[in-house]
This record gives sequence, C-alpha cells and structure tokens, in this order.
Amino acid sequence: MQISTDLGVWIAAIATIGILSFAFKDNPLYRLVENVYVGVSAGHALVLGWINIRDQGIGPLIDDGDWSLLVPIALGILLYTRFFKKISWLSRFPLAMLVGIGTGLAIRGTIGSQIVNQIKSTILPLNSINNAIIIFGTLGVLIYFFFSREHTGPLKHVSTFGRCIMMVSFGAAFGSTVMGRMALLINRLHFLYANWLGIIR
Amino acid sequence: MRQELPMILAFIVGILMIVSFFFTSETLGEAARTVENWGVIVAAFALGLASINLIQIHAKKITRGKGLDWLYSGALLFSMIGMAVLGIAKGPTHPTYQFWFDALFVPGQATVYAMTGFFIASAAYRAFRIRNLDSAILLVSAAILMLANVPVGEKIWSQFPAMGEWLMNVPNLAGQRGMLIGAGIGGIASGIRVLLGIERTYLGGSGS
Repeated sequence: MQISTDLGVWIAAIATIGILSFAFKDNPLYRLVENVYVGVSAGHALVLGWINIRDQGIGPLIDDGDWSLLVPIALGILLYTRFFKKISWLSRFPLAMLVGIGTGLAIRGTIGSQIVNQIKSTILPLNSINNAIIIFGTLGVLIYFFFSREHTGPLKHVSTFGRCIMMVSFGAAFGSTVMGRMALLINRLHFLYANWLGIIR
Repeated sequence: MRQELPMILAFIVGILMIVSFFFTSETLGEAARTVENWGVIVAAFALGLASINLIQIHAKKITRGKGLDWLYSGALLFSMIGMAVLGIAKGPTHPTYQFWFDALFVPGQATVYAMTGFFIASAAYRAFRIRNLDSAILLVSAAILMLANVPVGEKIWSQFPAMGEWLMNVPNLAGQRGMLIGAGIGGIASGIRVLLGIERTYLGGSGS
C-alpha cells in the first residue's frame, strides 16, 4: 500500500468521495463538492466560449479585416440588452437567429439521418426471420404512434406488437445504460483504490 | 414589429439552412456556412449571459441565504471565476488550468454519472416488478443484455453473448428505428411551427 503524494490526486479523491457520499445521504461535503464542480464546469464553458469569440470573431475581424463578423458580434452584444428593460426586446434578434439556425440544422439533419436513411435501411428482402422482425417491428412501432385512427381490429394487434418491440428496445437501452454507469463507477473506485490509496495496481 | 422582425429573421435563417442542404449551389452553401459560423459566435456570447445569471443568483444566496448557503455559493462563484480568469488569461492548455481541470472537472463529471448507477438500481427495482407483459419483456431483454456484457454471463450460459448481440441487432434495431422515424417526423413538424412563427415561446416575455 502506497498512498499518493500527488496534490491533484488528493483533490480528485476528495471530490470523488464527496460526490459518492450522496449515495448515503445529502451532506455538507457533497453539497460543497457539487457547487465547486458546477462552478468549474461553468468556468470551463466560459473559457471555451471566449475561445470561440476570439478565434472565429475578433481574431479574423482584426487580422483579416473580415468586417462581416461585426454582425454576429453586434448580435451577441444585443443579448445583454435583457438587463435594460426599455430595450430588452432587442435581445430577441440574436435569440431568433440561434433558434433559426438550430431549427434549420435540426430539420435537415432529421430528414437525412432519422427518416430517409432509416427507411432505406428498413427496406430489406423478406428472406429471413430477422429481416421480417426488423420490417414488421418498425412498422408496428410507427402504427403504435398513429393516432388518426382508433386502434381496433387488426390495427390493435399490430400496435401491440409494436409496443412489445419498443419494450425490448427500452430494456436494451436500460441494460446498456446500467452497464455504462457501472463501468464508470468501477473506474472511480479503481481510481480511489489504485491511484489514491495504492491498495491495488 | 418587435415580435415580427425576430420571427422573420428566424424564418430566413432557418430556410437558408434547409435549402442549402438540398441544392448544390455554392452561393447558398457559402451563405449557410457563414451564418452557421455567426451562430457559434452568438452562442458564445450567450454563455457570458448565463454566467451573469449564475453570478446574480449566487450573489443573492451569499447575502440572503440560510445556513451554509453562503459557503456553497461562494465556492461555486470562486471556482467559476477562478477557472474563467485562468483560462482566459493563460489559455486552457496552461499547466495550472490543466491541473484544476484534471483534479476537479474530470473526476467530478465521471463520479456524477457513476452516481446515477445507484439511482438506476432503485429505478430497476420499481420497473422490473413483473405486473404485465410489457414489464416482463423489459426485464427479460435488460437482463439478457446485461448478462451478455459481463464475463459471468458467458460462464452461466455460453449463448448469452450471442443472444445479447441478436437482441441489439434485430428487435432493438426495429424498435429504435420506429421511434427515430416517429420522433423525426414530430421534430420536423415542431421545427416548421417554429419557423412559421406559430410556436413563438422562444421570444419570451421581455416587452411587446
């Protein structure tokens, strides 16, 4: 057993124990570490934001004389008009631009990856049980979400099959999430026992 | 006009993003790339706004909070401002910045996610009580998948890994695909509502 003498490892170990202590009950150490973690994350996000403004905005504006960049910089500054009641409506412009970009990107991404590609991949030859499950399972799930007609008669059976397929998916997603989280927990415990306390290698 | 002009801006920008994807026009593509780049800059300014909001809330807690609130909020503000000043002044690759990043951010993030393992276990107890066919299917598929991914599963029955693989690649794929297509259609409908100005909650209530 050889306890670490590295200050960084000690701070990381205290932070890890502090957060894990919440599994027992809420306590002052957990709340302190939690707040420090939120602060560090917010500070890091701020630094990344500043780098984006510097490298993609101010830098090219000054170095290359790209005056068009005054537009996003001005729009970004307009966000801060929220703090002045009389002109706070001006902050809607940058917000509207972000919403427009986000919505446009989401729609075009969805059409390609979530609809066209998924439909293309579902059109399979009906020559195996697996292909049949994929085709009818996908159709069943879609019919389960089809609310324009009451689910009676054959439609009821198809939608029930779709619900069963969804339950398999939820179970698989749940199992994968549990495995992922357990791997992270094992990793943190390994850090405490190996890197900090030196009990295991 | 205070409502309509931002709506028109959102519509033009959104349509530009969509149209540039479906038409092979160099001008449209260049315009879309420029606007996308502008979006990154505006979003970065929004992070500053979020930080000011955080400072306002926690400054209030320091002055008027109960019990140890002053300590927690003080620690949050100190760590946030400390990281931001260090990162902006010296850069995120500076050894001191990297030290605090590795000592607090990396273990904090990993442990917060690891903690959800405990809550998932308690959620599993509630979800996996077999009351009907749906919860039985959920339990069986989750159990097979977990056993397929741990060495003990293969020791119990050698076919568990193959079953887990089949479960992921066939019924799970069908379920995910159906949900993706359904959610995609729903997302497009919501997006069109936003672009056409039918859904305008994002404009908020900052004066009319």
